Amino acid sequence: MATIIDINSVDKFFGAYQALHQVSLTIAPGEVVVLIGASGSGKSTLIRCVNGLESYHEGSIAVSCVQLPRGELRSKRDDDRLRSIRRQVGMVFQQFNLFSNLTAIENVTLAPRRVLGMKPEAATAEGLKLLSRVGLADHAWKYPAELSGGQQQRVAIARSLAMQPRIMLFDEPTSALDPEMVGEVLDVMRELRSDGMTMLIVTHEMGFAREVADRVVYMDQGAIVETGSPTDIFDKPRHARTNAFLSRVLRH
Amino acid sequence: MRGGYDTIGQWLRANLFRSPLDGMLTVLVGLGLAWCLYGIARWAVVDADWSIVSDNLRFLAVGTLPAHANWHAEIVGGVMVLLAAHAATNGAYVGGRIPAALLVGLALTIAGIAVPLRFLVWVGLGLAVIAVVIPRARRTFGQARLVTSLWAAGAIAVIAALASTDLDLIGGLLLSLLLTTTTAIASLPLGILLALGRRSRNVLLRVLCSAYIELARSLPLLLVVYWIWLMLPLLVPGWHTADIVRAGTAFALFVSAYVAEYIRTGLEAVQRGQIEAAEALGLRTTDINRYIVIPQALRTVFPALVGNVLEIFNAIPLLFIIGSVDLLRAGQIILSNPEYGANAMEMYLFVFIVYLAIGSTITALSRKIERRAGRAR
Amino acid sequence: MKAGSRPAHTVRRAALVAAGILAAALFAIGIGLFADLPTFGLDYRYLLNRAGIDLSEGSTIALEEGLPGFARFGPEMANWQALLAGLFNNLKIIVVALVASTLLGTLVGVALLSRNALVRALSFGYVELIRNTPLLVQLVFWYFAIILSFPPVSAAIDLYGWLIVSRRGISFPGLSVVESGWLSIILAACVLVLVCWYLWRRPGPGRLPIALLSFGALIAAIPIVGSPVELSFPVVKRFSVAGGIGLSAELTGMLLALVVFTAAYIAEIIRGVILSVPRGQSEAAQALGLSNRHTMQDVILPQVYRVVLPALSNQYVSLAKNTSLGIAIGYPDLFNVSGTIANQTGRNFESILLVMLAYLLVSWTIIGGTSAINAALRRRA
Repeated sequence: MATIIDINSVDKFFGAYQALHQVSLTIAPGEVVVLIGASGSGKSTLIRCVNGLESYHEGSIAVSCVQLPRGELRSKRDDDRLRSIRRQVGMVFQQFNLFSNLTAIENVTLAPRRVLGMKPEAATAEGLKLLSRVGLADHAWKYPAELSGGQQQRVAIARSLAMQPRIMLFDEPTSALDPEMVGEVLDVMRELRSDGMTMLIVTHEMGFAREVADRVVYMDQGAIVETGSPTDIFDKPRHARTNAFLSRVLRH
Repeated sequence: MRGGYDTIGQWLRANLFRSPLDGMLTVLVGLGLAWCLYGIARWAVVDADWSIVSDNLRFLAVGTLPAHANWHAEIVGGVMVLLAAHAATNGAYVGGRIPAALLVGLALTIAGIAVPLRFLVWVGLGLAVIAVVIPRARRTFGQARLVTSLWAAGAIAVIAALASTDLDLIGGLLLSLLLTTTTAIASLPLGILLALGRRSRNVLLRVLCSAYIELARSLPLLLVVYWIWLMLPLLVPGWHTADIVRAGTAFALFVSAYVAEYIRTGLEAVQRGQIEAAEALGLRTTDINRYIVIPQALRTVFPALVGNVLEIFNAIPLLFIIGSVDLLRAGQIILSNPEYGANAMEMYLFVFIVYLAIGSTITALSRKIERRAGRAR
Repeated sequence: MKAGSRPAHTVRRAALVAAGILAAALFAIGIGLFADLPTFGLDYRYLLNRAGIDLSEGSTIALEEGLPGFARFGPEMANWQALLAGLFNNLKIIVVALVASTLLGTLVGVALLSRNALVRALSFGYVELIRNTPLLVQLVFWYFAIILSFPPVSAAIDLYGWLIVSRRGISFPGLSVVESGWLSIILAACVLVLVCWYLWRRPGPGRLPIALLSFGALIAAIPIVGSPVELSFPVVKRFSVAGGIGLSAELTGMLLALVVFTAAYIAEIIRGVILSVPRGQSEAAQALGLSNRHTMQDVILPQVYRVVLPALSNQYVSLAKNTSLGIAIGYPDLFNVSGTIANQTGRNFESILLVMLAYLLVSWTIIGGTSAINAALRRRA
């Protein structure tokens, strides 16, 4: 298919406050799109709408040509549709959100067993493969509390990959990490990109964005201000607001 | 010395005689206390006639249990100790404890064989088994499965203890312990169901669960238990089980309302991010509850639940209203014999001390668990 | 059972849920009582029938010369009056025990933090003793072991009429209102309420003199108007004690057991609340030069008042629920009386429903009352 994510004129409200204004964005398979902008610009809200963690009110969002339910009320059919979409979309959170009562390997194998119906032995084998892919095979039986932030985030990435998603969403994956651990997570994300994964990333790491993104999208106050290739956005921004934001951020 | 005092003299002065007024207070209270204790001790040794207790020890302990059914008492006692030991060691099996528990267990087993006292053998074996099996089992099966299987084992053991005898013959301390154990075990799943029902999206379920929980908690135990006990045969046609089962069911249903509230606290304490991550993976709500929400909630409220066991134990005497003969009632039945009329004080003092001993043990265990839970955080 | 902590919104929700049930039940009762329609098989007309039972104690509302007043219950009265007598018996205990256990509990709570190790140890022992044993065991212990070992009436302990102790209970002198005394009492009460309200609304110096003055004026008025009350001393008769205020053995037992029990729990709460006030508060106060007394009065205690009432209200509701234990020692409380009536009339479900409603009302009154007082205190502080 030509596009794997189709966001069309989406409005979203939190009560009376409008968080997204007529946002439109299409993403092709294998594309890596990075969203940048100040806090409150709506980038996290947008990314959370793509897998249904937030609901949207106007417009449409489709993943692999399947429409996400619109509005707050959800029927049983809506729920089933949402769950089938979530099977294809993996999400990595800023706060990692590893299940604190399960070991790393249990975190990785839970969803494949319960949602994909994999047998425990097969799931564990696959899980160990993924964990070694992110460099954590030795820590498979540790609990999240025993892992560092960078290690937890890598387990979280492995957990999402275990579902064999077609799209990976990253909501500020390194913002909660100490600086020395940011690198190991970005390395994993670089590898994913070279494997051809479709990725939608919200991040403040401008150097990383310039390096991996196919497209960069700058958002401000709930609307898309400018999109373009990394060179276009970082070196030749067309809008004053983009320029202002970049000069604030890139100064240090 | 604790508190940074160098000599006993310093400690005394700081804690008991800080000022002249303080010193006088200490002397007065000390004298009063000594006089009371002396009076009680003198009465207990010289004046009191303890035959009312010694003659009726069996009735007080097991009610009218026939002699051949003694093993029921032993099983229940064993299960109690197993549960208590598991509760006391739950959460962190640090190196030093395993050898200690193992040693104590073996020692009790040998003592039980030597004395002979079959009860001790049960207890000792149980402790030894716990010391060896639990850490290994936890590694192999995982914490959740281990806890579930222990609950199941406890339930099965208790049911086995209840089987093949006329249940209505059980009474006395055995009944108190039995009811405490079964209620503590049964109220947990019931409480979880109620707590989940209260958060359900189905409005009718939510209203029913909320109404039941609020009513059971706002009304006196005597009232609610009596009400449920009356209604059970009407709601469940063909109720033909023993009285004790009916009493136990009514009581368990009452307690589960309180347990549900504890669990609700735990459910609300589960971080939102955990649930979001699970939803993002596409997990169903039932699976999210089963694998993530409930285990984390239980872990949070576990200390409170253990404290609840004390409340359960202390509420058992109130079941006289539906005819169960626990330790207190057994004592009162004995006292209704005119021959023992003058020895009420001895009997009540004995009953009081037994309850106090068991209650203090549960409190001590509960404190230990709370401390360990606090440290682990 | 121990009362758990209940933040305000859960209390409101509880009230809402139970209100729905209350409304439904009242509806059913009303229909049953006044219309001739049977509702779910419930029939409340038995309430108007003659009771035919006697209660060992208890007063109820009865018509005397056309006006409702209090009268000792007798077998010729109706069933509903019997139930009301039972309810009043509960209320008697609740009101007295609430105040007494709060006082005792505060005392013990402070003692738990005393510098004196002996006092601390004794208080701790007391609290542990009470909390680790069942309430029912404590109650029967108080009643059967202690009170029934008191001397019989013929050999009662008599302290010059100021206190008489026997197996039938304890008696002490009490005030009873003289014939025309009610008017004076009501007037004096109005004056006192007005004065209190005025003083509450206008804080500032000079409050104490005003209070003393008004109180003094009232006392001075007594010789002029004639005392509205007279003191009556109890006197030992052959088989009973007459005069004064008499508490039956059962009532005494209930009071002792419940006060001692609730006070232990209140002590723990008070101790916890005092400890929870951050040390920085008193340190800051000391740094400012406030004396110990003012630190306690103006900094620590106001913070204690703000937090303590909701926790205490839980204990009060528990206390109210625990009064139902009267049945174990033969005290004619509501549960006991309704049980007797239910046995006689065969109306089990109706009785239980009524008792449930009564307890819900009492719980709400307590929760509502403490919430209101709490709100007033917070506004003030």
